[in-house]
Amino acid sequence: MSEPKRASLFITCLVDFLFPGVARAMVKVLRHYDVELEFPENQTCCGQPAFNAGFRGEARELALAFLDVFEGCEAVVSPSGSCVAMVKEYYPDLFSDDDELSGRFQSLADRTWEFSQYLTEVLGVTEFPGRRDGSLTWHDCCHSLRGLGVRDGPRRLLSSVEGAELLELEKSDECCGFGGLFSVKFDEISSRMLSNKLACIEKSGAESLVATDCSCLMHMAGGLEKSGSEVRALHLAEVLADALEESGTGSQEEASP
Amino acid sequence: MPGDYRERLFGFLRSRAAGQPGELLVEDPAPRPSTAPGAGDDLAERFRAELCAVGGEAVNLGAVEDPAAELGNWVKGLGLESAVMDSDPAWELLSLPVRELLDSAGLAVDSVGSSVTPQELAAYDLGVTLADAAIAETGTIVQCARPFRPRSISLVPRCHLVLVPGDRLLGGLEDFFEGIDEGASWATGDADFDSYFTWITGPSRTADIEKTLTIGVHGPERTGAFVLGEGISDD
Amino acid sequence: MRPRSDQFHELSSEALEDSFLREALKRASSSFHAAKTDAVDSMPDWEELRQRGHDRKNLAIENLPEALEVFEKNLRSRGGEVHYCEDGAAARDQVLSIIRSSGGRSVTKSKSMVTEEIALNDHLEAAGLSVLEGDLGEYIIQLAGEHPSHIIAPAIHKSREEVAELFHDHLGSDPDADIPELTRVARETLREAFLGADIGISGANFVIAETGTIVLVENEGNIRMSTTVPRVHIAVVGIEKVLPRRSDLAALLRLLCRSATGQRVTSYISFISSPRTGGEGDGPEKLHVVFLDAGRSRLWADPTQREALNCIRCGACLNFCPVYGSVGGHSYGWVYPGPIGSVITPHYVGIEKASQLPQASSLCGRCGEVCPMKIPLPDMLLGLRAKAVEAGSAGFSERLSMRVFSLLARSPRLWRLLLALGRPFYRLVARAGLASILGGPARRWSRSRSLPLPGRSGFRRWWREDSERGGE
Repeated sequence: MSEPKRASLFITCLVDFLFPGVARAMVKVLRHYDVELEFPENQTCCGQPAFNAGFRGEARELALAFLDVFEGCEAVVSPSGSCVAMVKEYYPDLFSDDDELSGRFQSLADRTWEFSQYLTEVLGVTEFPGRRDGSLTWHDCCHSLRGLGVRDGPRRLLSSVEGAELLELEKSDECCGFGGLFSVKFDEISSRMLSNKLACIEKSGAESLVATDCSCLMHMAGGLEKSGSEVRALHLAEVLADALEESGTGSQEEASP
Repeated sequence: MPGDYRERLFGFLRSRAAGQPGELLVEDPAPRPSTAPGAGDDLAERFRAELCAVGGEAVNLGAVEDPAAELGNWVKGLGLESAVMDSDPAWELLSLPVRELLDSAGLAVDSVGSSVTPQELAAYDLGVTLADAAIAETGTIVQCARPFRPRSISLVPRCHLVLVPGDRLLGGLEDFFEGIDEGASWATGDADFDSYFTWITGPSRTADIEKTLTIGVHGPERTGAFVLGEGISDD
Repeated sequence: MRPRSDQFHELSSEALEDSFLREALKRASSSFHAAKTDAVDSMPDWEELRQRGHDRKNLAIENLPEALEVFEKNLRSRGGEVHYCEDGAAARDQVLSIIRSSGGRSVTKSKSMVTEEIALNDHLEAAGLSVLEGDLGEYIIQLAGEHPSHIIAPAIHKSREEVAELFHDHLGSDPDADIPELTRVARETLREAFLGADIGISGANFVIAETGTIVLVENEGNIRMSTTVPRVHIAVVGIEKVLPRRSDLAALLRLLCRSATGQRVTSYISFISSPRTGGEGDGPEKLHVVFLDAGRSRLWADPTQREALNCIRCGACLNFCPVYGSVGGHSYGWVYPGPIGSVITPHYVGIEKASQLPQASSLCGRCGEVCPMKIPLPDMLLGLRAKAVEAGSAGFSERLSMRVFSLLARSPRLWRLLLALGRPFYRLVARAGLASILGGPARRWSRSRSLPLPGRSGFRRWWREDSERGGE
């Protein structure tokens, strides 16, 4: 690596409110690769909840606010595939009637990265150092998988960690049932999809479930806990930060999803 | 008034049509997929393999020692009583004596012209035809509109025997469509593809009850396709 | 068919309780998944094929008036007749009128979603005609007095036992018959009807402009029966079914067969461009195409939603949709279920009567991924949600919450303040098990999930302190 990389953290509203440990873990991992980090404190929300509910006016407002905060950054890294997919897939289209703005959004989109993709595609990480004992299974979050093409990267990173046993999750690419407000607007269907996912998780025999998005993890963790399961739901960043810790089992003082 | 809506519909559509005049029917050939048979492929073998893979029965008579015996044995094995053939003049051009083979296999054989009804055809166990074309890529038999052949002869009897002249066996779907578009030898004369044709690939089937496959629903329960080593020239 | 799509919540709730349906859907989905995956894996050029299908269909739709006109001219030149109907009522009357002038009384019908849409069977039976569905799945549904729950396999929700009981009640067959026996019983019963029918009614999978051809795809043979034996063949077809040229069928048939059933081609495909010709002895004397609009032209006029007309009714989106997989077809309350149903139903029956459908999706994106025609279904669902909001259908509290959220998210200082205050409050409430005071959403969440519990402080404070420490 010739020049030191610089990146701005876009932690997302969910992490901001509920899961700071994920952001701290991401910082730890990125610093391991000597990435110079900054945290623009005026960041809030990418606007996905408004966009998904059909409120394009509000979504545009938040997109412009996001542009304002992050436009000048060299790179933006986020621990959420769905938020990054919002920026990359939908922001330019929201302003398709304005060539100039659309162009600026496209340029920002090209510099915005989901955490695992930043590791594998920008930093070129193939083998991850450290050690973390225990079995893991990987769930493919929908927006990360279908929106961003995240599939092999995290699996390769996780299997390369010494002591980590990556077990395959049956139907790993099937939606967990979160879907944002869908999880409460259509909670019965969401719960059925969740119980199907929990059955696959149990079948995998893994001690921990790992994924790229805190939203999905929050929903699956809630289900695991309610059903009395011992399986922990962890963000990829947390697992990798654990490995760097070389503690073997990982420790989280704050609640993780 | 019945004609009214046509005017209104076209008026509405024309006022908003997005296309360029004349572009609809412009030829726009696509590259053949890699799964379509190529120029050097053994089409008879590919046809046989594809049709057998989907539960049809197919034999490449060109690769068999004694085609007559092969065909005769298959027919005998069906255990049927009656057969009906169409009055295709091309039967006389084959070196294989199909009618005699059916006779020797113990079937009562009738030849029918175009005036036979589907209800009358229902009385027969086996319908016998010559394929108007065949497609190796999928193991498909093609039957088009012919003055001597009722459409339902390959549909109503319990079983269907079809002989495929070698020069009517094509490689892939594109070869078939090109052939009928460009008037290939097998697509001219009284072979009328422009009015009607049907693709037949194996026996009739359904999986409508509990997704369990059953063979033989409304169409024939057994289809035997025999590819001939020889061709037929219609003109 | 009268839409009940505004009852999606109730219907899906009932469906979730139906353990039988659950088994049936699981069985169907794994069977369809495996078939499609094999079929696609065996086709290395699948993506190119999808693009080709998308492009050729787009060409026809963009040139819709010309496509219809050329088709009509070609079919008429061979003695076929073409009619255009504005809505279901007009189409029903047109079909009945054709039947009356032919003097026919008995009808065999093949599976056609469009005829379900317009409730054709009921109309014809009320007029004193006997109408028999020839497709096995549709025949079962007809005996049961139900509507199909899946585009390709209409009776997927019925067990062998239910079918055996149905056949026993209506046909006197063995109440314990196995599946081959049940199929044989259906074959014999329907054969009589096929051979005696005066009128055959079908839909169409494709209509080809260039050659005036109706294309019908099947495995059973009932379509061939209904379109060959009777004196009159009536095809009821949505105006969007057009393709430009006959040779386009090479790509489209490959896409349809693989996506619908995992087959390379189905057992029978009929290409009908004419009634019986001078020399032929069978085939219908009269061939009619009844084109149905019923909202399609309006959908066509919306450039952001027009691609929904590219659907070839393969059912792949249903088979891969986890929502459909949980609740089945009847929950959608109309003819077309699953993702495609959630897009076209609001267009065809009115957004007010089907407002829940575009909402009933987690936007997982699988439908768009598997669609052989590359219809951007998830984007279209999002588009419909936006349309609903623009039309003012969002509830007052939802609109208010969105405005407030947007305001907060654009006021960074206020945002930080609210997080700092909100976090401990939420923690208190969640730990005390008082989630219900947070309102309906929290209650609904908590039925199957425990609430997430945040730590005391957030990332921002940690970052500040960490920066003060000089970072790592």
